[in-house]
Amino acid sequence: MQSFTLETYPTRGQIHILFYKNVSNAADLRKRLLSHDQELSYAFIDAKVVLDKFQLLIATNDAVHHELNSSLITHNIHSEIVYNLSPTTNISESLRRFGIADSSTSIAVVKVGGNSEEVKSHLSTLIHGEESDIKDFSSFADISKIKKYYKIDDKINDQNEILDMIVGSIAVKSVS
Amino acid sequence: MVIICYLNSIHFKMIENAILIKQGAEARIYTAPFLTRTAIIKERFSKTYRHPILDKKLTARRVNQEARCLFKCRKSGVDTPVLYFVNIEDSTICMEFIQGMIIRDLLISDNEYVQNKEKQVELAKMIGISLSKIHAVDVIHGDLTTSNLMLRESNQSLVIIDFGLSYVSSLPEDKAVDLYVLEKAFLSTHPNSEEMFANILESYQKNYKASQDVLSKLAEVRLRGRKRSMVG
Repeated sequence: MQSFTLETYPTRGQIHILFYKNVSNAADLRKRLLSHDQELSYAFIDAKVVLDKFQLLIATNDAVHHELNSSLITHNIHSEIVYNLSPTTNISESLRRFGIADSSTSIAVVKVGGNSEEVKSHLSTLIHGEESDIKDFSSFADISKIKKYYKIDDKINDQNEILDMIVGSIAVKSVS
Repeated sequence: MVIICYLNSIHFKMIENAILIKQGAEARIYTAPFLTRTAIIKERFSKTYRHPILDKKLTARRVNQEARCLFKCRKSGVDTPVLYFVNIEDSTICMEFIQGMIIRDLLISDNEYVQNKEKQVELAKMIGISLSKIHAVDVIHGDLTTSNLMLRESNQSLVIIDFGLSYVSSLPEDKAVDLYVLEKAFLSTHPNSEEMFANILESYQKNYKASQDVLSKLAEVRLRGRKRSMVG
């Protein structure tokens, strides 16, 4: 787990990012998300499409910005983070591609606001899996899936370059 | 009045902690830490001589256009700063801070470049390739000068910066004017650089399929200047 403060909106609270692997109850979590369970006010993201924490921070920063300007496109800030990760403006496709699926076994979690200890202990009761270092995102990432979703040229293989393209796609989404 | 100032300071929280590095006619440039990295923040300020509503609309459109062109070029394989965050409401764009040298400074004061013809040819080739790439995706930079070209320190790749005047057009005329602006800038800031500019055009021609139309237009533009005659 790692916590960050957004330089743009430091008063919005800390951003907590966590990574869980060997998760066994993704189907159950997804079902609860679909029924708008208020207890799950977290962004659950399929870790296969996450290359780096910076990618999550950029999407979160955009979501907080939209929240404070009352321009959220989805229901709440956490679903907005998942939506922002996608380069397309199709909401259901974005949530399907970047949110968790029934078969997901590795999950990235983003929480806006709250106390880090409380977030961690609450999540440990929700998610049945092992918490892992968020540095491990890149080793769990499915590069070919990422390239397909973000429409990145197949010739680009450097991870930093791929990350730059991802970040740009997320940032340019708000003006396209 | 006090309340208004207070609200403003909340709005520009990020700029409060940023370091101003440059002020131009259109925008201020800051550096600041941004989500674990270092970013450049470009803030367009309002122009008080314009009607406030019009000003807001025009500024928003410019910010939008700049961000799009910047990313479009990056996507087409030209090295440009990575786009981090676009804030239309506050007219700011956050992007990657490039560690490197400005070409203008290299050509003026770096001995390696001032004396070594081979280095200059190599640089001209890179500039030509980058220009051919941005014109191939119909982006017109609008303000090509040697101050808006950089050399990245880590991998020595040529970076095009400042898309503040850029727009999308497929007309050979617009592309020719883009090259003409660079030619003027080159010859006025760097004496005896005719050969180097010729090298840029040569590399542009080699790497861009539709370059013939642009170069013949360039000959026309040279005769008449940047502005198109509106007579007739």
